Amino acid sequence: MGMALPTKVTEPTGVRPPTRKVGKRLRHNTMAYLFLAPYLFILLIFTLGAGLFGLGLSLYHVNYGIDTPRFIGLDNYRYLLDQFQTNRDNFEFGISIRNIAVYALFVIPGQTILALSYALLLNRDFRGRSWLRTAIYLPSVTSSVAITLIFVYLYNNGGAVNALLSIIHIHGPNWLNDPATALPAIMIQNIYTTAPTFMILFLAALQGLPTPVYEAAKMDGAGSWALFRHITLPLLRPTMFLVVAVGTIGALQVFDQIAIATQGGPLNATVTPVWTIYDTAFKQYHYGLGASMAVILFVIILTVTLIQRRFIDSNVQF
Amino acid sequence: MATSVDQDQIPERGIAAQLGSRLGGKVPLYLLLFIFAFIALGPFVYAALSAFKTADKVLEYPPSFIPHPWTGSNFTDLFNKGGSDVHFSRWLLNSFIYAVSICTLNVLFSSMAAYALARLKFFGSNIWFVVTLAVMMIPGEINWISRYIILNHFGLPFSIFGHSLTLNLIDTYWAIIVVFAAQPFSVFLLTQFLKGLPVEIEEAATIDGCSRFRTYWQIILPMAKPALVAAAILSFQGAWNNFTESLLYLNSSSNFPLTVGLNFFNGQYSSHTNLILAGAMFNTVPMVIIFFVFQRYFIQGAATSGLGGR
Repeated sequence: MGMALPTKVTEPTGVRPPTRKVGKRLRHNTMAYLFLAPYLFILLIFTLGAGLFGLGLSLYHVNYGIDTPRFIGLDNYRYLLDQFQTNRDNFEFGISIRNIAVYALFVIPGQTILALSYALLLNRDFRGRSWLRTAIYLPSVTSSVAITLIFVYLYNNGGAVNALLSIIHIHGPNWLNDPATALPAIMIQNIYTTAPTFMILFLAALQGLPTPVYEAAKMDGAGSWALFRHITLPLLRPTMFLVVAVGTIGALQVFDQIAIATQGGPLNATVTPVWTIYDTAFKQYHYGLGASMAVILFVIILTVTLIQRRFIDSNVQF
Repeated sequence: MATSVDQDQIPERGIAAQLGSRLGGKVPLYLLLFIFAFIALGPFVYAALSAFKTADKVLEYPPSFIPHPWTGSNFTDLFNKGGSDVHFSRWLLNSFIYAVSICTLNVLFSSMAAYALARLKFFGSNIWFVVTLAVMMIPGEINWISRYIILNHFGLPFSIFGHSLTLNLIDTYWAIIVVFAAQPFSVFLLTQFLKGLPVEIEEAATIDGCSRFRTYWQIILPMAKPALVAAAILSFQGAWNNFTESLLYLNSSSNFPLTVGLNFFNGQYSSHTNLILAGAMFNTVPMVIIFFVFQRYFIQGAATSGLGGR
């Protein structure tokens, strides 16, 4: 890897002959690539190589382990497009895209608002603040499996959620087994587990806000709502955009909760694009079709991210 | 979250009146704090308590918050209940093996790469740093299928040496370890940190004839300790909590980590809610302990990327 080096030979300084300098550069580059080698090996094979391989795979009919792969050009994409138009009600991937649009529409504002509320509260001075911050952050360090299994228990027909609802005389549904409530239930769980991570970003931004501005505004008699509305919120814009952008990428890829709690059911109510990719490739062994779905999802995520970036102030860095 | 009032500062007049005036504007704050603490901790505390309930009480309606009677047998039953395909102690051991090996290899390989990217100006150093940044934005599922096929035919790259050495890594420990053995996010984190360190000490070492590798090992690594700990903690967390890749690339129950094992157990014995909750605690508690000890590294990691706790 360190061999193909068009070495930049600089002007001979006269101190050393140029050949020695070339040799030294070569040794230096080889040394650098030796340090990089394990990382590049994994990156080139399992990320960059795999990505290109996946792109190629989407042009093949692959029934893994059954037939030999057959090149079919864009047929996988034509099939998906055709199904989108003609088979609207039963086409799993089409339903999954509609589901994820609804999901994103609620989860992204939900997690952003909850994260901001957590951060605003924790930014105030009170006893036990670091203790509460730890408590709020807990859902973010536990595994999706443990949290989902806990929520399956809470959402149970005779579970804690319905017991709490019955206190205010609401007869709760059978959350995860009712097509009308299964997706909202997953949404609520996801807002709960992602908000703490984003809270950290808001909290860091809040702690960097300039106090003199607030003092000046208070002198002018601004109330706390006015302070929030006209100073805090505008100053938090870059963080807000970052949270929305990262949150969108995450929301469009929801998988674990579906695989553990609902398996896409009931009646396709919780199928998501990533679940459909998993189902198509790893359960029905249509690897090529699954790969083409992954490419479509990648394009959707990329497009949404780029559209968001157009609205994002240029001073936001990832 | 007790509302605290310093005892010695309370004068003669009524304590209630004093409390009222001192808390004045703070009552709504503490009410909000209570609600948020309840939202954040409620599910965990309730699930943890329910893991001590007996099989018939755990699904009782209306549910009781406190177990009655208390039983610890769920935690021991996990290790000897279920069919021949349930290997609870093995899953727990596997999770440690995956997490420790991924964490160790990732810290080693990522810090080596970061040293090269941050400190050695070489042909391609900027390109590889930009690639590292770009790769962090690629959604993982785009690679699922091709990674599966690559892992299934691993060794193909070596066939150029005359021998077609095909070994199948699917359903082995290596399938999970090799994929996470050098993570772009760790490389990014460590590179950023190393770029901020002063170069003088290294230059002195080089002048004294210290080799590149010794410089990295004896000078850079000790100075980079905070970032190394952050990378170690975050990759340990990622590996311990990993679900997707383990689900995709492992087939035998005896190779599962605890996460996939629990999901498998939930699929096979979904009525054993008490055991499932106890199992979830085995997955959660070690991570919570690590979190309490190394809190600031978690926060730092999350603040660095915003991609931390996916």
